[in-house]
Amino acid sequence: MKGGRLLSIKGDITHPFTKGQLCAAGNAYLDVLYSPDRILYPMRQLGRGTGNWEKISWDQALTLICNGILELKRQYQTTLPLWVENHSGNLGILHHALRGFFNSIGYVSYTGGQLCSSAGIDAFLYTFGELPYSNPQGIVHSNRVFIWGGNPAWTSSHQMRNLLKMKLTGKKIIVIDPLYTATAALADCYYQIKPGADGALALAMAKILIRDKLIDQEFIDKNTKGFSSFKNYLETIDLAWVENETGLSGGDIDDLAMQYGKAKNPCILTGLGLQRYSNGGQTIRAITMLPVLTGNIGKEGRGIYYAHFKADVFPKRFLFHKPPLQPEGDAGNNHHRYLPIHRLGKEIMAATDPPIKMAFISNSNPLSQHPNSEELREAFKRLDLVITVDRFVTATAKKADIFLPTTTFFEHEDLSCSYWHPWIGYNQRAIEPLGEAKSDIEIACLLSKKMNEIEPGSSGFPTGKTEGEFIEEELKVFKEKGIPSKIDQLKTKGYCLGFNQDIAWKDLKFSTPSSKIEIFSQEAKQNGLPALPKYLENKKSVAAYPFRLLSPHPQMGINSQSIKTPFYCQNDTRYAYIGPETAVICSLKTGDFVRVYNANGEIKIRIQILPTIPPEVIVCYQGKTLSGIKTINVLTSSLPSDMGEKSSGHKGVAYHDTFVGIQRVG
Amino acid sequence: MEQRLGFVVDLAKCLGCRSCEWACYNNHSWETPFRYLREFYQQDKGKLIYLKYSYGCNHCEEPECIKACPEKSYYKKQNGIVLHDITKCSGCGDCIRACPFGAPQYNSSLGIVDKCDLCVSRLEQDLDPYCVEICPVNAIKVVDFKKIREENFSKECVGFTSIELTRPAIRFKKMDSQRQILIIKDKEAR
Repeated sequence: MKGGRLLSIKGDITHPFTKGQLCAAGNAYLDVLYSPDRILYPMRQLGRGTGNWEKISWDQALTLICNGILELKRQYQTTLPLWVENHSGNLGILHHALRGFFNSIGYVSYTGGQLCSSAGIDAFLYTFGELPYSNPQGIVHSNRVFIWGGNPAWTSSHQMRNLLKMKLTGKKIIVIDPLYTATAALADCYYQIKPGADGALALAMAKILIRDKLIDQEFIDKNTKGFSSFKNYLETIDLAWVENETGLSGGDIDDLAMQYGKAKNPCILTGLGLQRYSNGGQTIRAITMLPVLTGNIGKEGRGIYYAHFKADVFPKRFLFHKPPLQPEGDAGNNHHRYLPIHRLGKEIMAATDPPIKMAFISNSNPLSQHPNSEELREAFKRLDLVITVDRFVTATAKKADIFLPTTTFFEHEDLSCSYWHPWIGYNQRAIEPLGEAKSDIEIACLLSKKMNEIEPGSSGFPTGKTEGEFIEEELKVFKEKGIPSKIDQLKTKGYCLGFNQDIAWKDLKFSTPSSKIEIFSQEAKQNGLPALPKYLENKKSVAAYPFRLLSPHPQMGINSQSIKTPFYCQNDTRYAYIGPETAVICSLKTGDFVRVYNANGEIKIRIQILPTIPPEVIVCYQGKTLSGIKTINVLTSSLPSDMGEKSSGHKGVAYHDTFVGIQRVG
Repeated sequence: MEQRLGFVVDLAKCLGCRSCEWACYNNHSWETPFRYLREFYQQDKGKLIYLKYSYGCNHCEEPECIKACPEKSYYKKQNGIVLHDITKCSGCGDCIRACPFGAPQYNSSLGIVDKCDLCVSRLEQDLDPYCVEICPVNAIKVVDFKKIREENFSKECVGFTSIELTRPAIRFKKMDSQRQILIIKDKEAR
């Protein structure tokens, strides 16, 4: 730092997981902080989408917003016409402050469910009662790692360090993925599976493990429920059908089952991509059966890994400030309304009693990231007032009336909990906020203050508290747990362990209804799902839209929070990638400009042919604007995934069940 | 004995994560980084070879940039490092056209060219260059080529032909032959 300006960014070499080595995105954050495109004062747009923004003061902006909310309240006797969208941001806990503010003014319409990982989370909950939380550093004790639908070379370079260390000692890495990823390129074996067919492969592997007596019968008898009915179900799985379904040869499938079954301590890393299908939850359920049948649970270096939230120990007290008393006789409206995320546009347009009239969007860029974004864009037209809190004029902000500028993590204090490793990070403020930018929690306090100024008693959210005070309040949890030393550790070192167990289910105690691993889940059955891990039909293309569109995350961004496109990056969002087979079928060559279309809409984009892209698949990376204001989610499907309700109230999104046609233009 | 410094790249480790690009970019005030990721695909008898690795200036023994520059702004140090004096640079771009490795980078706002100096000032303080320091998997290293056993290293790999004319100071760590390349099985055979 020099003269209040940050000059460089470095990792903390003492950190047990990162060892101070930043990933590319970590290196790029200074560019976000000082980006010339960043907006540093509140603005009002005169005519949505016109780009005719005028600078306004914070006081003007807050007055406009609070008057809007209070006007709705007068007209409808409730704040339910206000749709509040608040997603993950950078997962710092104080990023949810605005949700806390809205909880404290009454009842609103929230986006229900999440876009990311919920189908897979539910699958783990049904099988184990909990998400797998083993410390990923323990993976070095495995001798064979199956990376199933994940790409840590892009998403977790620190994990790759462990994996490569393993590989150097002769241990094996096996990658199963429809796309030949940077991780696949470093693996010992790679299996290119057809998208959406992972469940069929897992079931076939389970069948072979049973057939060849590679299972741990004693473990199964002691710790699981429903094995015999699962075994019966597997009888109905025809291995020749699995070959056709997965695109893998019988030899490949046998090979995978043997590699898993005969390994001394195999482990599986499940990615998030394979649950973004309408059969995604069942896919993960099927994959969880492999460690269960072989008894590879609760042991060092074995088992299965996914995201988990165990490190997040904070109570987030700021979410629970009570709203003022509601008008009497309005008991029916005394709860929030949740609009299912996978078809948000439709839900907003269909909402009556009361309708949706206003939107407040923070930590989110729905017009870029939600599926079927054109429909949502249509729904925006019905809204009287749209507010976004962001750092840049995003696709969503372009369609907003009011823009509130927020801070980067350099400019505010926060607590961040990993959903992969067990560490919590303390985010100190490095510099004062640039321009007039304010942190989410400061915006929440200011909104509360303004609400109460206009209508006393209309908001229960604190008005005069600082970020530091909110954090102190969260940190009390360590005192309550009898581990106050962690507070010191967080503040002096910058990190501490969120929890101490290194191996999930070491005690073989499971928090399922039966206290066992549930191969057969009565609860799933009650929720309208198959009780057993069954394969649900993989969606197929139709004649008009013969290609499956896969839209994974780009290397250089988190969803649409794209960091400046790096210098000579091949895998960027400006291209649609196809394989040589598709190129022949559609007579396309690299550089051709095409229309990619389906019933949801169309985008225009340039083609690149990569020999690694499988037939019948087209790949476009999520994120930055492709052509004008349209992003790839113009095309993505509003189909829900099969699960998600148990953990997040609503089903997830089957992004990868999107089918498109391609046509050359010009 | 004079040193001969250059980069060693471990192909079995490089993730293609671009951290080195960013570290280079963040620490040199230039429009672009001096080193960047290159990706290569090669069909070989129904198998597909895909390799990715990053490099910038290879500090050649017989650098084309030195020969090409009309301003004589390039020079070579005793330890092998090729340096560029930007105060002499006219921005003519002759070096960019001459370099077989795409090392010199034009800065459009300054109108001149610069390139990787192997972080020579850091080396003098016994520190690694920024790109080496940042690499999460230690896939790149600066070594003295006079001290390595050449038989453990290769002068070329997919996408990188050793140019005997310039003799670049870059070596690729040899991999166990079975794991040398990564394979997508022949799609035709399916």
